[in-house]
Amino acid sequence: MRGGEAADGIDHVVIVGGGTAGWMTAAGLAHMLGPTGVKVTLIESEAIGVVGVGEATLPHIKAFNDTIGIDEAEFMAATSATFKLGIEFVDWGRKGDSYIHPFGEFGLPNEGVAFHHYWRKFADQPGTGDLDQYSLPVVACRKARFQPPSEDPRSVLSTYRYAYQFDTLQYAPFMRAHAEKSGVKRIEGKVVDVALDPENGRVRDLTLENGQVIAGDLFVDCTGFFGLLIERHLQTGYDDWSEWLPADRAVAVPCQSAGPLLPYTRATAHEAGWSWRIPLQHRTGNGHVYSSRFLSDDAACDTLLAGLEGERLADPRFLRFVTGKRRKLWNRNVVAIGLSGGFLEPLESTSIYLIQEGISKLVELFPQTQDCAVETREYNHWMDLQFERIRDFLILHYHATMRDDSDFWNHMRTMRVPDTLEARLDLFRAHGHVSAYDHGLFLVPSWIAVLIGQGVMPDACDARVANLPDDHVRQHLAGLRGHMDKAANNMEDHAAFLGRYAAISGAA
Amino acid sequence: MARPDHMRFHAEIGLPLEALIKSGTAQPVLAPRFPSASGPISVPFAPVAAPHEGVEFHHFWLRHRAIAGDEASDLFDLSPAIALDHSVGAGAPLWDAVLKGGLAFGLRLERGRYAGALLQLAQRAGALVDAGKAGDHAPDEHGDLAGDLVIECGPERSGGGAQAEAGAWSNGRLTLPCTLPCTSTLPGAEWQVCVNAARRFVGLSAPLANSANEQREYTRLAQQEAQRIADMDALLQESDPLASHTFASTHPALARKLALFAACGRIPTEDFEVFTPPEWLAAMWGRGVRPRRYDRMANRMPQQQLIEWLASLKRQRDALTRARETV
Repeated sequence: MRGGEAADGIDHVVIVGGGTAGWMTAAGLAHMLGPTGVKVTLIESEAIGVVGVGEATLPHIKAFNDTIGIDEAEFMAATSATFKLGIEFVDWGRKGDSYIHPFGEFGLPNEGVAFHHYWRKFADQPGTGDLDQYSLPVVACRKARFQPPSEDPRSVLSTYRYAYQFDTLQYAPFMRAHAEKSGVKRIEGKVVDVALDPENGRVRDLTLENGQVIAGDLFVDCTGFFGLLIERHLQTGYDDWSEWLPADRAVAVPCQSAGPLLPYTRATAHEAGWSWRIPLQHRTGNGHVYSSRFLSDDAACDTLLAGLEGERLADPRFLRFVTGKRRKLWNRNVVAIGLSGGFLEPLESTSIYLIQEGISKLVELFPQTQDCAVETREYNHWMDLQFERIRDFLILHYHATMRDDSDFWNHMRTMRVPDTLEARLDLFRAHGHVSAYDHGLFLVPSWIAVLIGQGVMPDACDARVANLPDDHVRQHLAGLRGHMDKAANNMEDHAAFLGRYAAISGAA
Repeated sequence: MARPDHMRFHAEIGLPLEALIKSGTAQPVLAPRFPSASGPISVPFAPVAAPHEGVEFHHFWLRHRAIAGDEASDLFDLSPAIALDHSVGAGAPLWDAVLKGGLAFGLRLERGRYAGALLQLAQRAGALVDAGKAGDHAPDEHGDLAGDLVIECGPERSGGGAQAEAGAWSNGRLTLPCTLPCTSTLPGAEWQVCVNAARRFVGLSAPLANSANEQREYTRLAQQEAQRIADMDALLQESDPLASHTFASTHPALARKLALFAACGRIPTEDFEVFTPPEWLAAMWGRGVRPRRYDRMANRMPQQQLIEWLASLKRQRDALTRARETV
């Protein structure tokens, strides 16, 4: 039985690249594995910029922060964060449409039947309202209100979770401070050479510009799209998914805040892509993701700038990417985390989630020795599943549309999608049933939000609801809608809550 | 035998546990014995102990054994479920101990009484019951029985007609996976697949004439479930599971479980598992599969804390054993 004392043991992890992925990985590994004797070193160069992936997150980040001992108030103050209850999608199903994908439930199940079936029974009738109106986090978003959820499962306030919207340029330094407190050693420098072991092809050491040689047992590649170790040196290969997700560029620009401070991110569909709007405490993050096959850089930039709600605070910054993932996210003794591992557009704020998953799985499977082919295979199996299931969910947004106002939308609407997604769509269209899985980020309420939000209406509802007396169902719907509205009205204004929260934090 | 899911299922159909206890229909089971090529294996529903900071108990136990060099002890010596299951005999004292113990438990059911209780519930809910055998009914020209849907619930299939594959719903016929041979040898599997089939069928509720998509989904889920059961059966019946060269192609999910468990003691799960990770652990352990190493995270616990933890588990186990002696 080995406990970590073997000659070819893995006791030193070298992370290449700072930024969000690098410092999250450093903090996570140092906190969780440091007490077991694992040493963590991070190499970054101030001369290399960071992409600053994802300002918007999913609720899972709270668990990560809690696990590594981050104080929420301190984190929010340091990263100018706001709370987030969901994502608004504007003009996706049709121009003029808007729906919110909430971090929570729609209604409450009744007699074992999911709520949306009750709603579907009368969806076509006046007075029923949109499905949105039966979800507390959505109603709260529309009213710009926020309250931390309740832990009492009997309370309607327990039907949602929350995430954060934060400034990634502030997040990485915050995580760096946290990681260094946990024992991570930072080395400033640019990697100029990577030595592979001729016998097994593993990375042996890295040489920096100043001649310093850094050896390690396991290397984590956080060098972004460049993939210095995983691709440039190990030539791992890349699965290109642009067949289904053809957006390949983004242009980003911050602007001054304007209007109420909203507890949600907005994704607005355009002629050949979509733009994001992320409200932070001190500014608003904006960007336009688009397909260069269908739109020029200039036109994309014009669209973005025309939509800014406040004064522009910096020059627009362009990014190029290929949607997809590395064939192996863990190859030999290199694990790719963050953009070096793959890229899925930030439509559902999944970038930081995938970083977290990469870290958690690595910790779970962290090998004792270099003889770790099984652990490597399991890591890749798990991450492939995560990427693929998120990919299908993203494709749904583009494919389930009635838009026919541009070549881009005509292409997306009519393209062939993965069989798994096609089967899901067919099942839902018939009687509103959602194909479930146990492992994957987006669960049934998320699929319902996007499917119904984009106008994919089931032909009929569940037979159990179809046979219920109309009055019974109407009463159920009216009661719930009133309940949600009242609960949201009792929440605090998001900006006021944040101000109060900051004051509490300052006092502490 | 009913698996621990009986609590939920019986609540769904309105069959209180109290009624089953009072009528003598059910006795609790905490660690059923699974038949295997190397003899019966006790497979407790509950883990030996709760995980600590996300790390399963067996990693701590392996760490302790590596340090203490105590090769004679066995991980499941500390299992409160096994101690209780083997201890208190039957009747009220056992029920008392089980209900106070808070461990997951199944039910050993007196088949006739249980079927009678279900029959009464079904009739109360409007089911028409015909005591005749399927063979007594005259099939139509295609060999099918009259009705919009025929559900085949056991190995004794109705005569004639195109029979659906086990676990499939197609052509007006739904065949439960309990018609697979292994469901009758694995304790609780037959009951569980029937319950899951009922839930799945109700959950995909649709007019029968227009249910092609629901049928496909039902079949997909049922067949995944059947594969998980077949995986367990293969693990138990193979003479040397780790040496099997066929699992990678015939039971890839089982091959994945075996490989990862042997490498590092982790048990990966698939969508729609029937057996829980503690059951897989017991089954693999019982078949002699041992991890080459424990999870490094188990080293985070101070040695003294680990010693005290193991001592408290031993005291708990001893108390249960004493209870047996006093009954």
